[in-house]
Amino acid sequence: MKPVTEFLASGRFFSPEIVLIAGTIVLLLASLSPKLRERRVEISVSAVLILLIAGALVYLNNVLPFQAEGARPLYLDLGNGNKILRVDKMGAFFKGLFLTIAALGVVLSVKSKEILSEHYAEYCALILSVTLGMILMATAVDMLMVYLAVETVSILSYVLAGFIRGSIRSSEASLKYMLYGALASGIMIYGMSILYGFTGTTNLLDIKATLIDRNLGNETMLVLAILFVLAGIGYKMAAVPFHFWCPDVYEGAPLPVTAFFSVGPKAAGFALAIRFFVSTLTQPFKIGGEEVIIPNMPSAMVVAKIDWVSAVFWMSILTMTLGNLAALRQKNAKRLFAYSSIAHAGYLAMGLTTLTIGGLESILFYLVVYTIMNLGAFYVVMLVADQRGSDDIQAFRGLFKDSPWIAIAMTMFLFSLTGIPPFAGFAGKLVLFGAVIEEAGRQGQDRLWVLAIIGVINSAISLFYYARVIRVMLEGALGEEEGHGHAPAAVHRPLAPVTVSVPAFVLLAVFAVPTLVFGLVFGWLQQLAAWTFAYAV
Amino acid sequence: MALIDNHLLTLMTFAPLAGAVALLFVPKDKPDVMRWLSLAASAIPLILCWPLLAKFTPNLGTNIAEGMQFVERGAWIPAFHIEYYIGADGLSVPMVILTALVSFFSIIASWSISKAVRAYFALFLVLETGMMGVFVALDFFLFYVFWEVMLLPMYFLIGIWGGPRKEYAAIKFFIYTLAGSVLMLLAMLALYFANGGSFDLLKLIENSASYNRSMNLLGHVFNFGRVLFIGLFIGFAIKVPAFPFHTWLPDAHVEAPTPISVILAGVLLKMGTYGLLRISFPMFPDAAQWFAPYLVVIAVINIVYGALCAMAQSDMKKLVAYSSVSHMGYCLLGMAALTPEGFSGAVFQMFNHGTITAMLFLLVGVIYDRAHHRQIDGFGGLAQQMPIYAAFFAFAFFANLGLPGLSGFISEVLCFLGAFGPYQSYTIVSVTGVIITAAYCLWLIQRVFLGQKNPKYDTLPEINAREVITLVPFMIIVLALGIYPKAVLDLMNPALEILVKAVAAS
Repeated sequence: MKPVTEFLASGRFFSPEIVLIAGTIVLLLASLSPKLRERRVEISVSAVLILLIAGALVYLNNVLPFQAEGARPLYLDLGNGNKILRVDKMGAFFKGLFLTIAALGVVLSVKSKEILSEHYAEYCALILSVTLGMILMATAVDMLMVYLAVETVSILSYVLAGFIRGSIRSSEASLKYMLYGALASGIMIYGMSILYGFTGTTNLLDIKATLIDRNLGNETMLVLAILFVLAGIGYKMAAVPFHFWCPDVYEGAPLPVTAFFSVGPKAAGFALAIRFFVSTLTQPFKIGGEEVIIPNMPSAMVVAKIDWVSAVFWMSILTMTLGNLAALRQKNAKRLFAYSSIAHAGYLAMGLTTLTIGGLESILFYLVVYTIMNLGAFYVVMLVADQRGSDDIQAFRGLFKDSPWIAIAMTMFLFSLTGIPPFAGFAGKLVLFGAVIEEAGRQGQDRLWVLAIIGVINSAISLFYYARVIRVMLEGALGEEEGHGHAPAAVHRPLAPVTVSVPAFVLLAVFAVPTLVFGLVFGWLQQLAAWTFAYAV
Repeated sequence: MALIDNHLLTLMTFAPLAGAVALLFVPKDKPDVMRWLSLAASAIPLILCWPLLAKFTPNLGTNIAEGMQFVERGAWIPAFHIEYYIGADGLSVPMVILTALVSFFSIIASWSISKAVRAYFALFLVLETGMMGVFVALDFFLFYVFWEVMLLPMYFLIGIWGGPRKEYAAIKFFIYTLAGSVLMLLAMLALYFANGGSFDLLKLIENSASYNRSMNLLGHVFNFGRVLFIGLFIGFAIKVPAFPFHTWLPDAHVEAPTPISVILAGVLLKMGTYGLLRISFPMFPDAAQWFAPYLVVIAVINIVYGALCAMAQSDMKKLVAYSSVSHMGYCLLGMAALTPEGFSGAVFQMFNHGTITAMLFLLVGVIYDRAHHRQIDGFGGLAQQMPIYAAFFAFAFFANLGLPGLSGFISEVLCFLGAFGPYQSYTIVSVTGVIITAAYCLWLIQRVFLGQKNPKYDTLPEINAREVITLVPFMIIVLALGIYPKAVLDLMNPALEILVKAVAAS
């Protein structure tokens, strides 16, 4: 009976997940009733409530226990000594982040015209269950669990991408997502099986111990296995060269779903990357806040000489550069933000290459900032697309004149995404580049200078396409028909004015105010990120 | 008046921003209220220049840190050791005064803006706060924030109220400056970590000796200080603008509305040279000495090439823009000399160029408002039609070409004097710039004001009172400083001597 009681005793730590499962079931049941499922506001309120309860439970059961002196991470044990999930501060951070993203994803969709009322309860149930999958991704410490979590997120995402029933574009998005996803997860599990073959275990912690013991680093197959797993994780991050699905899926999927995809699964991908690469394939350099000094190693080292850092280094450079260059030529706002989100995955990956706590902290910091500004930008795209019937960049024309508040908010999000002070995106980039530069100063890490320089040049390039949106919004800002010559007035059909209802205005402020405030006061975010890693990873 | 005593620079910096916020509450149909409110908001820094000058002690202390006055310091983001840390010395004070002066009169020059008045003045005031902030910040992070914050309003001011190619000009300006400032960001972060986590500019300067060490970069050994110096230099050089980073300037100037051109040339360009003197030179004295010969070459190219380009222009505003490139070259020449005279000349030239070029742009704006074009060939004999205007015009362009008795002359001579010792031949080459300048200024006056009168402009009205109000203060300053330059030189010389010692002694 012991395993069962242990399992039940640990249930307290998994109460947020349990609430999410229960909530999903409730919403699915509601979707069966023709009367209930039409009530969008009530359904969204209950979905948000479920998420809030889960959030409160995260605080009570995942955060508070770690405030105690000497608190150590806990594991969900299947009873045979095999640990599959880990309860730690990083898990708590990501749970909180995912629940917030899910709540915003639900709120964003309340007025969406793309998501029909009859499917609304279903949509909310899907969001809740994807969130569960993402939480599992961020807490799994066993390869089987990792795979299951990734597949949970993926399969539900395919459904969400194809949520506009009857739309060919949406179905295409779903199919493309699935094909790429199947390939990526196939490659990933192949890599995992090779890893299992080498180490004889699926547990990430045991894999680490075995790799250190047997020093298997120079095996070609082992390196291939790591690269295969990177492919699976890179697919979730939408990092080059595993990004091909991203623009098409973003374009085809309904906007609230696209907004959700651009932050949720990406953040989950980074959580998994930290678990797999940093926790498993890096030797600890700080345990319980104490520095472990390894001779001739300035800060940290990769396990058994498996040089995954170079792979991530090049992936980061390629991702930000190709993402930015491809974004330059986009005409569709969703595709533009798809490439922009690819570029941001590249910036985030910089944090992985430093092998320092500071680098990991900067990833968390940037994820929070990125979530706010990117969701904000997508919300504006949604407001415009719903009222003007188009998600082309041209649909933003004259927004400064027609609805200045939306235009001002959008400008803030875009400048923030570029990384210009005083907006939050700048704080994020400061911390991210700071982590890279700090490590670049150390012996043998000088290639990080290259990464930092390519990173900042990319930031400058990104201004081109973000500012293009602003330029379109500025057109006719002075209320005159301007004879530019290059854009004859006849081509422009009159666009419907974009109105902002009071709730929409409030929601806009929910994104816009932090975008400004977090750019001016961001010490607490750093402290939060530092808290997350205040003991061994 | 404890508030003014203790928070003088804060008031000067943030009064315009407060004005911008207040503008949001003015009813939509009261553009005049908005104008007067903006004027009041930008008058505060100008009025506060008086207590600033009255309390400023030029020869205070023996090093840069001791010379700082009006210091205000408080924690901002303790997690990153970021402080709200401002102060002013003999280098900042003239720039602060210049900013207050040029901004105030540019607001008057903006009176005729009639579209989207609220947005225009709000952006303008935010811009003023950004400029002020750059000149008083003593925390690198704060400096960087002000430096970047100023870009945003500028982008909109050119991009909305500008000329036909405004979008192109605005984005070009923005991209150029951002490309430079991201390199500055990296250098700033590298300095932060090299000093164990500090953005305190004075502390970074104090530790300047420690940057003179080697660093590895992709298998090669470089000098850490020089690499950072280059990174910062590109950021500042784009702003100056130093050859070959100057190509954004003619576009931005030509497309920007007149008051914004005035701000751009009058204040913004000085941020580049100020940054070099405040940050690059004292922080990396070794690298500054190493780079000085190259800087001289850049300066000479700026002076001569800028002047030749100005001569080739058919658009008056573009001519003035290239003349700015040329005149900022004098500043670079003076700085590269690393002598007390050179530094005095450079900073005095920054101030004088700010006032003189403001006049030039205002005058070009006057004719553009009336004739709706700026083609030099399109005019002729205007002196008969607009004699008063012609007199102002002649005065401003004589100041520009460095006529003795006017302020520009003094600073140019100081720059040459400073540079002649160390760089004789370069100085001789750059003096030809003065001749070319005289040539294009006089040729311009001749083509526009003398000769056959174009009958098309028989009805052109004379310069009006508001326009005269914007011009006269600058004229007085240019004339006064031409006769009695000590007024400004005494303010800044002690600080600059300390600076020269810090750079040259290492």
